Amino acid sequence: MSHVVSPIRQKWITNTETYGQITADVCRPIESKPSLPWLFWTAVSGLVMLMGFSLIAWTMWKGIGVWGVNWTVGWAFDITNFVFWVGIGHAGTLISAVLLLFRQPWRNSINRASEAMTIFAVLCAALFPLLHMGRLWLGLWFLPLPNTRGSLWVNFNSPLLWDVFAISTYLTVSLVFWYLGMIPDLATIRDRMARAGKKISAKIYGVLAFGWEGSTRTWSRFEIISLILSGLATPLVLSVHSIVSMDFATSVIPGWHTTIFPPYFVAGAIFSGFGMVQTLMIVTRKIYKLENYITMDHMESIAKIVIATGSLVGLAYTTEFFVAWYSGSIWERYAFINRAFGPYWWSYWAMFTCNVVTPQLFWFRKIRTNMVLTFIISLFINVGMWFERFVIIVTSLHRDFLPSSWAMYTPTYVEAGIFIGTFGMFMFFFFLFSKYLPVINMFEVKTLLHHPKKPSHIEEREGLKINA
Amino acid sequence: MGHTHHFTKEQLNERFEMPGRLRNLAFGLIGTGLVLLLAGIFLGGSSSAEKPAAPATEEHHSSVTHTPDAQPVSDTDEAHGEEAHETASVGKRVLANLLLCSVYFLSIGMGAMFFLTVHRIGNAGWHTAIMRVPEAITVGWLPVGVVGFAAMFFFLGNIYEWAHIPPGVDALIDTKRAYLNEPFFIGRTLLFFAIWIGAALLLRRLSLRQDEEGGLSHFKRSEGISAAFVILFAISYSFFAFDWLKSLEPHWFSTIFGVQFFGGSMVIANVTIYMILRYLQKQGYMQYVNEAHYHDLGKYTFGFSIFWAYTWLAQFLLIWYSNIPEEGIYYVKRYRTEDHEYLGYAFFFFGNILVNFLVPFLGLMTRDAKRKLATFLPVAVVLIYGHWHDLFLMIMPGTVGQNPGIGLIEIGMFAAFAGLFIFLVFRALGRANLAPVQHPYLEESLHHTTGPV
Repeated sequence: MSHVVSPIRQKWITNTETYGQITADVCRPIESKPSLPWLFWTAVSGLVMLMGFSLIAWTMWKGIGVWGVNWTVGWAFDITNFVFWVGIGHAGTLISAVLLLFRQPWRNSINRASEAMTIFAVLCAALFPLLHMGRLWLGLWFLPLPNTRGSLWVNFNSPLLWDVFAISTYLTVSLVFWYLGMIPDLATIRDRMARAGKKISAKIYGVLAFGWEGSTRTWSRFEIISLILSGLATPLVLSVHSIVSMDFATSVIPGWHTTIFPPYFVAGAIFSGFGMVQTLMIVTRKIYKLENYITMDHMESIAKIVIATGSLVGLAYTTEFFVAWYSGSIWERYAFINRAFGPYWWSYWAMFTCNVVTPQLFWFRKIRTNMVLTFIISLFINVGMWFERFVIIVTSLHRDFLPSSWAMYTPTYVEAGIFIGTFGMFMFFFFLFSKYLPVINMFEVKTLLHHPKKPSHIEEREGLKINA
Repeated sequence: MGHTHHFTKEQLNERFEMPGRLRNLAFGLIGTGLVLLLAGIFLGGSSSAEKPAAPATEEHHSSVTHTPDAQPVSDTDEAHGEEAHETASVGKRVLANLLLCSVYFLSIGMGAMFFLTVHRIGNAGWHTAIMRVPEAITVGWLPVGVVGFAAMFFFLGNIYEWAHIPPGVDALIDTKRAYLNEPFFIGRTLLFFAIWIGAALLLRRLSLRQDEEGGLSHFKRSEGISAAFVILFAISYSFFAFDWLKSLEPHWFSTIFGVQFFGGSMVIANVTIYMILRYLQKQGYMQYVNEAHYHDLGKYTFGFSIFWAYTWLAQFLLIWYSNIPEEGIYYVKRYRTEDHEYLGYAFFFFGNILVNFLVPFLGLMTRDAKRKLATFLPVAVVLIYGHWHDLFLMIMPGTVGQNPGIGLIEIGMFAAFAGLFIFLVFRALGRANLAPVQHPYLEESLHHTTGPV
């Protein structure tokens, strides 16, 4: 935020001279006809989504008996997927709110798409708690509404209810933040559409832009409300996944009950979210030719956050394992030995390798600037973080306190299909977003275009060698 | 904000010289502290600790710590609680306070280390103009401050239950002896100190060499060292907290313990940096530091105190909610007001939230509160006490046991440490320029503004 920028700093936008060029580059996908690959992949993801919805319908028709869950392992794919998708959302909030407070200019290019990702991921997540009730139509019972069901009332002492509040707050704030941030850009598109003579489009974007006219007073209010919203969103980065972790940690089940869960889940959520940001951004910048805005430096910064959060997750795994031993509690010790060497050992080691070992590859600049390798590693992270939740949920449950209650869990095609269906839904929404809305925040990126000129007396005094 | 005028080479090349008054204050604190400490020792512990011994220890212990199954928590606590009670001697109290103060000031040094390294790997520029202050804290304090721990190596058995109970007595401690034994404990600690002090000295050397030679090579080298340090710090600081603080009550365990200790350390480190800067500016130094720098330090103080409260809640809420006896015992000792023997801690328990969370949360919420000394100072005073309060609550129930008190020993020990800290840190400050004159981000920092936030 200083009006002096050191000459050794990189530029966050490359090969771009004018504001007009930025607008043209970002608006191009919106103004041109849908491309064939776009149509193809949107159709494919739409079909996958429909497949998922059909299996959801089947589950509702037959009951959750079509899943592989049993008395001992009562939570499995459903809650694993729920936590997985909520976690994915966290990168968007971190980028839009926390990185704003930390004055990180590189967030300007990726915040829009990451926030969109957050919203779609939270929508996918919200499906699962509803589904695992088996009776979707009773989802209303989640809400603390006055009712005629006698004494039936939500349990305010239950972390599951806190979760309802946490997730719905999260969705609301993210949606408002995302949409509000888009209004000036929607107005830009409206004006361009009007100029190009596309009346219907201009009308639609005009309605979406809430009649934005870009006066100084509007901008001033806009800046203030953005700031307030980012202040409100910052605690959400911590609180949402902390409360998700309490779904487990408030219990007395070894492997679930441990005090490090809240920050550990938050670190994991940010980690998985950034893994997904990598996956999506590598594709987006390539397809829409946005390499001048989402530069190699952006990708490197994301990779560095992945190292940091991946290592934090690794520290949490180690701490948990160590303290399980240190506690001297035979239950705790058994839960962790069983995790690593019991019947689900492969899921533990898949988790550990993907989440702790692979991100360390980003220490090498050659790897983090190689987009093919980064893409592959980001997929490993997505897989690893899904396995983390599977490990926590299934391996902790399948060995009950009584050996006679021990059981194994195997997913059925219905559960797997629903999970794949949510990927279809996620991608379907993301494709629609990337075609019809501006994937890059134009007005914020424009603030980075002109590096302030370096005062000459500084160069004289410092005698710095400029190597940038 | 005075960021429109430019600072001359002379202004940036200034060096701190310790004023006589500050030196006197430091030595005065050391002297007074030692006198109070000795007085406390000769008077046999003072003030509230002189309350009559708690009655009926036996019953209360069993009512509190009964566990349903073979977990041997209750039995041993009783046995040793009894013994601890008889010998809750002055010596034990002195050692507990030595531990408290050593940890207190170490955490400032380590917080400053983290401040420096994490800004370096984050490629931050704003802190450049003030970085000599955290640098002086690390190299001034850490090499000397660790001596306090080294002294305690010889008295581990006096305050650490596991070091004093022979094998075969306590089944639960016996299962942990592979980790909780004196040679390994001392070895780990020495290794951590070597890493921390080594990194601090190395970074300082690079920073000073850059002053002389300029260029970017030293700056670039510091990035790798900082990254390595942050990784090692995360692991070692967590285990350090397990070793020196958590193992005071060796039956108890909590995975978040290290994170919470880290949160508290960052609060006190930021407060310390802030206050030292204010002092230096008042003495006429570092006129290039502006309100924006204070604002950012204030934001960290505010943010980390919320983070501390978050970790506090994670630990307390989860243990309270699950209500597992071997975990709950930790809080039973600290907040059960029905228990006469531990009654003294309830004040600290509830006060902890007040001083370490509510005061900074409400006191530093507004923009101006962080930028103006008049509003920051009262909060800083509370937080400087608050970190001590937090550590007191961590350390005393497991060492001094029942009937904690704040008396001559506590005050004297802290005053002596504070005096030594002031002397060493300001001496280190005087050994280099107050501004890193050749740092590539110095100019950014001199013109730092926080913008609308």
